Amino acid sequence: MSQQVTVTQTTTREETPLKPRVLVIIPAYNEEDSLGRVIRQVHEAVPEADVAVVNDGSGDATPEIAEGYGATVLSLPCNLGIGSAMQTGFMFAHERGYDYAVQVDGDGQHDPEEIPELLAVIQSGDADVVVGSRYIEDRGYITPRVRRLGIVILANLISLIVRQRFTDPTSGFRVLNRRAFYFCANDYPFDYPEPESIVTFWRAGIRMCEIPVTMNPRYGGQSSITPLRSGYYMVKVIMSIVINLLRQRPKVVGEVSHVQQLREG
Amino acid sequence: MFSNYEKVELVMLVVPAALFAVVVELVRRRRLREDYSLLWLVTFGVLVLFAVFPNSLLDGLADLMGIFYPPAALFVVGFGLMLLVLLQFSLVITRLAQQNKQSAQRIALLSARVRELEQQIGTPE
Repeated sequence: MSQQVTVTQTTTREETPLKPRVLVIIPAYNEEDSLGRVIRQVHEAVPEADVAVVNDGSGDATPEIAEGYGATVLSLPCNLGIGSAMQTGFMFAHERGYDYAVQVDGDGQHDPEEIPELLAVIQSGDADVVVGSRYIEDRGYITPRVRRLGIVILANLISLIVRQRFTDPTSGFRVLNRRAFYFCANDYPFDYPEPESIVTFWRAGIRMCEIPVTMNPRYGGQSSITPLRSGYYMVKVIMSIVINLLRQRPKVVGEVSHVQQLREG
Repeated sequence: MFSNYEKVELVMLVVPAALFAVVVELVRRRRLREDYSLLWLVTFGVLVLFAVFPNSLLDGLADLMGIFYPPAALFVVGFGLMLLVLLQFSLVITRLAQQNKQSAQRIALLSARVRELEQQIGTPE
C-alpha cells in the first residue's frame, strides 16, 4: 500500500502479469471527517489495491489523513473541480500502468465493500466501464424529491441518446478498465463530469453497464449541492451533453500525451 | 459657444482618440500584449474615423441602419465592437483555465513522483 510498493510494482510489472493491478481513486475536497474511514474500508475490501487520493486544493487535513492511512496523495495546487481531479487520478493510473481504476467518493456515500462486485463485472470483459446505481434495486436510499426528479430527467435523456437504460447517470461510484481510463486521461469534463461522460463514452465506443449498489448518507463534510447549484448543474450538464453531440466523434487512443511528455521531459 | 450637436461630436472624437493613445502607450510599455490590443485599437480607430468624418461616414451609416440621430449609430458600432472584445476575453480565459488545469495536474503528478523518489533514496538533508 505504501508508495514504495507502487514503484516496485511498476518496475516488476512484466514479471508478474497475472494479478490485475487496481487503483482506487478518491477525489477529495475538504473531506477530513470521512476520508480516513473510507480509505480504511477500501483497504479492507480490496487489500490488493492501491489507493490514490486526489486532494483538490483542500484547506483542511485531507492530505495528511490520506497519507496517514497509506494512500498516495496527488495534491492539486488549487481547486480544479471534481472532473479535473478525477482526470488527475486517471492520468496517474495510466502513468503507473494500472489495469483498473475505481472511483469512490471521499464522503462515505459509496460502500467500499461493493468494489469487488464492480471489479468482478469489469473483469468479465463485457464492459469497459461499470457504474454503481442506487436506483436499479430499492435498497432504501432516500433521495430528496427535487434531486430525484433531476436525476430521472437526466437518466431518461441519456438513456434516449445512448439507447441503453441508465438509471443513475450522476453516480460517481465506477470502475473503468484501461481502455476507458486512458480515454479519460485525455478527455474528461472539468466539472459535474458523470452524466456527460456516459454520452462521451458511448460516442467513443466505450461499453458501459450499471449494477445495483447501496449508497449511504454522507458521514461528514458539506454536500456541494444547494438549490441554486442544482439549477446550474442541470443547465450545465444538459448543455454539455447537447454540445457534446455536436462535436466530432471522440477517438479512443492508446497513448496519452501527458505520459509521453513526462517521459521526454 | 458650441451647440449641443457640436459638443457631442467633440466628445465622440476626443474620448476614443485618448483611449487609442492609452492602448498604444500600454503596448509600448509592454503592459498589454500586441495581440490583445488589436481589437481595442480597431474599436477606438473606427470610432475616431466616424467622429472625424461625421458627414460622409457617420450620416451614411446612420441612414443605412435607419437611425435618425447619427451619433446613436456611433454607439451601435462601438457597442458591437466592444462585444467582440468581450468575446475575445472569454476565449482567452478559457484557454488560460485549460492551461492552468494542465499545469496543476502535472504539478500534482510530479510532486507525488518526487516524494516517492525521495523516499527511495532518502530525503536530502
